[in-house]
Amino acid sequence: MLEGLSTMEIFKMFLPVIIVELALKMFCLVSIFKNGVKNLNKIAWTLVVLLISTLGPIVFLIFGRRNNYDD
Amino acid sequence: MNSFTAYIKKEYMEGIRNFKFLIIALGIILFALLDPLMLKLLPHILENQAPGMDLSQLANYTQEGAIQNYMQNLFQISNLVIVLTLMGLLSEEIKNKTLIIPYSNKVNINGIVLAKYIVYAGAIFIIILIGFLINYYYSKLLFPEEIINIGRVLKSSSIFGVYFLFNLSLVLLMSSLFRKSIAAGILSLSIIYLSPAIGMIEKISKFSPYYLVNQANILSDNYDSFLNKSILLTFIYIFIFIGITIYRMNKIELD
Amino acid sequence: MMIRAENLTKRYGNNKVLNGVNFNVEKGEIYGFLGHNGVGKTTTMNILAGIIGYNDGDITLNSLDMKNNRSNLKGMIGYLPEEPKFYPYMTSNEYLTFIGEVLGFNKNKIKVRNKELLELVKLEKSSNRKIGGYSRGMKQRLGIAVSMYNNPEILLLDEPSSALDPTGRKDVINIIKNLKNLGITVFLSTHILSDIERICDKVGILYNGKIILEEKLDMLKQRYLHSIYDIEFENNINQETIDEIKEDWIKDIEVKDNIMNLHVDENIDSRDIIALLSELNIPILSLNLRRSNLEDIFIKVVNENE
Repeated sequence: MLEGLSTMEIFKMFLPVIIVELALKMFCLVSIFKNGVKNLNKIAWTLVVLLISTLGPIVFLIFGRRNNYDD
Repeated sequence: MNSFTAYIKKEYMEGIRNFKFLIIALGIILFALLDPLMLKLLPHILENQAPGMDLSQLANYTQEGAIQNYMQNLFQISNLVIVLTLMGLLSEEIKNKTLIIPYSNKVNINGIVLAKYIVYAGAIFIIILIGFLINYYYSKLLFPEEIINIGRVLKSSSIFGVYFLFNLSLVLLMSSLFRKSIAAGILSLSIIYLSPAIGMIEKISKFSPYYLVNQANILSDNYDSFLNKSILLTFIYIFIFIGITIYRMNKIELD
Repeated sequence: MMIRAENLTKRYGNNKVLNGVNFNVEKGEIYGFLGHNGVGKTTTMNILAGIIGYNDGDITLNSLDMKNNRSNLKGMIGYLPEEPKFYPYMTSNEYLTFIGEVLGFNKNKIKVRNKELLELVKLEKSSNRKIGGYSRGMKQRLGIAVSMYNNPEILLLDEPSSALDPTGRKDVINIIKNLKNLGITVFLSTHILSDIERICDKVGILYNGKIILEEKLDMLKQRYLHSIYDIEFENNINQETIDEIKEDWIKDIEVKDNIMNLHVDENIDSRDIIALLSELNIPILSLNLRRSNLEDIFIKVVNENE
């Protein structure tokens, strides 16, 4: 696909995005299963976080996240 | 002054413990990485889809183009993230009655409003700067052919920062007017997203804060001579909005 | 006179919540502010705390007029809202520090005061846990600590024990009892009468936007309380038997099947009752003395004003 670039170079190019995206997804998944969710159920939020890149986790953090101290 | 410092600490604590700073940072910084990459990949994707097309007309495949794309997303998506994260800044406190105890303890209301504004203004300004820097270095890595001067990027990021400070004052004002934070959010977003339409009318476009977005997009030293006045004007709007918010919070009946 | 309200009026649109409320609270007194839910107790408390305004009337707190000294008074009054709301992501220690900073205390003073107050309301052990995880009773106790922060002379407590379980209630009541020893004037609103009976010196009953009764608790008891004897007979009681009873110390007779309730004067004791019953010459199963409580008085007073 990217002619003139080796696989390693492509991977390096993607690396920052991949790292941030993965860290974000992990953080959200931990939050879902540790502290619970609101507005939708756990499965729905898990799918949102996993399937929609970038915006999925952000939407979850704004609308779905529960704090461990929420009533 | 006591209330101001107390609330600075409180908002800072809330920003960290409720992950507000983190969410705003994600909403601003992720696109700094994503946009240059998308731009880099775009020709290759299109080539597979429609071979032989002239792609050079579609987008500006340079570092400059990448940064301009980033600014477009800052306007469209980062605004959304910021407003949705901060729409409850005052309305949640009014609705949840968390202000009753401080109010009955002689809190200085001006201090509360100012502290809230300053904490998030500082956070947003710093995050924007970081976002632009990350975007600059990443796009430099991907488009090494034509590299633009970092000074220009810093200027654009400052102009964009001022624009976001205006939006913050708008959200803060809306948040003081509605008990439902989503109402404050939707109204703020409508105003933000409709302002480019005002920009179509030549004569008043310069007086809208959206003008700053246009100017930041130029990314060169050829800013319009009106830019300085526009920045000043935006600060005046901010003062007025904060003033109305303070007035409103002093008048409000908390029950 | 610590708190005096004269002709206090509050309207929401056309709806008059308070319609000329008058009351007086002496220094060091625990004043029980009684009334049904939704009768305007919280509104009155919010007005006294300076959180909302009022349409008409005069309020004097510690001989300072409310209209001209609203902001000065705020620091002199401690207020515990009905459901105190804190920032859930703070620990109680952090919240008290926050209030201390709002009040302008310095670091050392805050440290000392936090410790004192957390001891007073027995939250030392949970002082480093987030408030969001507290039970209602713990939040209520923290609320009392917060309201005490500035060493107020007047404490306004809005339904401090209503939503609590029995242990939580007992803790709160004991804390309020201790406040009395500190010489603090407490204005306490509640609809739980047994709490008032346990701690209050004076009660005021709010009904239909007015105070329909205000009296010292012991005077009130003397005036309204008379003993009631519940007598259970072996057979149903007929009208002739009732007509036979003519003693003038009997205030009222209620009969249902084989049970008779005799309302009698305070100075009548069981000997008189037994003498009366032996005259009737009907077999009885039991004889019980029941003292009418504040609840009966409350219902009676409200009914009189219906």
